[in-house]
Amino acid sequence: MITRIAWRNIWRNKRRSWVLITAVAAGFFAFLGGMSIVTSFEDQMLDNAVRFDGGHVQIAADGYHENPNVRRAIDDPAPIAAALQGLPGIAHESLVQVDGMATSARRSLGVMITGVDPEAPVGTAHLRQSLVEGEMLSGTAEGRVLISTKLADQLSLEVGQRLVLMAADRTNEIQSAAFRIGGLFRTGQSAVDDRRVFVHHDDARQLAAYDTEVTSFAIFVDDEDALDAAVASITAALEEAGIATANLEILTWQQRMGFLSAMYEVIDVFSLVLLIILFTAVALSLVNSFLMVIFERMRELGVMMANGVRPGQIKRMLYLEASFIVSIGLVIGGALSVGLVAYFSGGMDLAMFAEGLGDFGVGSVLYPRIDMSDLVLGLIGIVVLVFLAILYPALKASRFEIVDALRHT
Amino acid sequence: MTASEAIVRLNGVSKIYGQDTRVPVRALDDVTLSLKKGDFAAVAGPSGSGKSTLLNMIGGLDKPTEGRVTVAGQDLGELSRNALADFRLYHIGFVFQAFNLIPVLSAVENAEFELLMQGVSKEERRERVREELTGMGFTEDQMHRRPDELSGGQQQRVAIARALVARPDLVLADEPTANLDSTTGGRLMDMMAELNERTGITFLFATHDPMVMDRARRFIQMRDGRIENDEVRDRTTASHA
Repeated sequence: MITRIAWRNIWRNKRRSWVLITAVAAGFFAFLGGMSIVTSFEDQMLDNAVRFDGGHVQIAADGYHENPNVRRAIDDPAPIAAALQGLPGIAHESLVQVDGMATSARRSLGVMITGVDPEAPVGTAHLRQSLVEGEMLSGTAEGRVLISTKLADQLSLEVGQRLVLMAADRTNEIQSAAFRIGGLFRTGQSAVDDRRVFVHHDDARQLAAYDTEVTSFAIFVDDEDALDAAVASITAALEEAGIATANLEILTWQQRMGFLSAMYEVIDVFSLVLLIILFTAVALSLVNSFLMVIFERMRELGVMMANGVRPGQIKRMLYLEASFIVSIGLVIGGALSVGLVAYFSGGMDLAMFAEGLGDFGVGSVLYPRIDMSDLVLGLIGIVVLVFLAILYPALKASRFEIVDALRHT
Repeated sequence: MTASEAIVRLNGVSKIYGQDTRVPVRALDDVTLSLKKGDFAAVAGPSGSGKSTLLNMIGGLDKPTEGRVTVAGQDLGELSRNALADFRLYHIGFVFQAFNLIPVLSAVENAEFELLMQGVSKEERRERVREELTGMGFTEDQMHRRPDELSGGQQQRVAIARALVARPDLVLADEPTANLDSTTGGRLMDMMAELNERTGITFLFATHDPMVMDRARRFIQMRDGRIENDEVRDRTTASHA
């Protein structure tokens, strides 16, 4: 009966109930919809960072992260590659990275020369997708280089033209080699487009004076939320293969990319602040409306209590009314958020902010996604705030003196 | 409990409002009273004489400043808020001047309100409520109307049905005819007198209405918070009862 009365009560003043439902729906949509865009931003930021900068987990020589010098190489990568082969949910590629100069007839620019295995399925996929002109590197070293459209502009070069790459090798000797531009890419990320050039890893080895050495292994995991477990299984596999892990550093992206990790923490705090601001506004609307409700219905509440309704049941009725309103609002707000994500499933073009986004390693097209943790956070947040918001009106209503309530007009 | 046993006992009950103010109001002043099971009694008196306060004390809606109120053998002062709510649910029915139905419930739902709160099964609830409302002249269509679609007399009949259908020991009615025309009020009083005869439920009215006073078989006159006169009438002297 209390449930039935509560349900009908919310339709007594339809306009007020719809205002509250709209407030809840708008608040939830603003949070969930907003977070779906933020999640997309985070997804891209992480994805691009790990794809172009060492994977979810990186294996390198001990001390490489602190001082990424070409002299700190993994001298014997083959046993490591063999140990990683066959680990479930893990893909890897070896990288040779050398700081150097790119020189055209017009000018010279500092670059990071990255030697990749073009046949590695995961690590080079992004590079392949980012190509806007020319072709991907082939499976054999043939003196071709991929540079960004931005670098090409700065160096006044086009596909097919020659570029000289120069670097200090592991013996501190200057090495240089001429490369032909095989293709141009555009990732939209400043960190990549401004100074990365990609060559076949054998070409990079020549510049670094490596034989079979590599500077690192980039490891990509299927389950990004289980990085610690991945690190543990990688370490175990290496030790089982008799590789001295003490001479290596096995670092997750959070450990390597402090800025990115801090960004994630800032975004988490931002989410929480957004949640609190939006839902506090909703909660205040509820408090205000429910205080009005109980004063309007004071006499009726008195009649109910006179007829044997316990104070706790009065509280329950008000909580049920709030729950119905909030539930409807959440369904509408959730549906709008899902609609937003579906509408932009092909991508949300933010070309006008491309430069700013690029500074964060994010492309100009975002793909909004509702993250389950945001959904749970939003639902828990609103339930807690509604509970707190209704507590005062509910307590007040349940503590009415019946005779006073019955006299109320 | 036999017919001669007291269903209500008030011993030295006083109620003082605004005790901490300069002008405290003594709404009840050392009232001692007992009602027997099956009484059909009216409390009359001028405004401010303490009629409603007396009913509120007996109904457990308010607490006395002094004295003790016992209903159906239970000292109401010993009960917590929840226990008092349960006690009212099972032992006392209320009929108010302003009908006081729950506006979002239909007539039949209002009438079955207390039965539902008591956890009575749906079949039994509907059977008892239909019997009561049909006996009061409600059609099937009227039973499903909400209070704002019923006349004042119909609303008050629903309120009476709500008070009676749970078979309480005592029905307290505060000015039940005040908002009704004399014909409707007379019919309702006849109906309650008949129910009193048939079920033995004790009725206590607070009233200004001479028609209610005439029909009561016990007449209690109050003034300034005290019982001035308490007269038990012969059945034949109480008109229409």
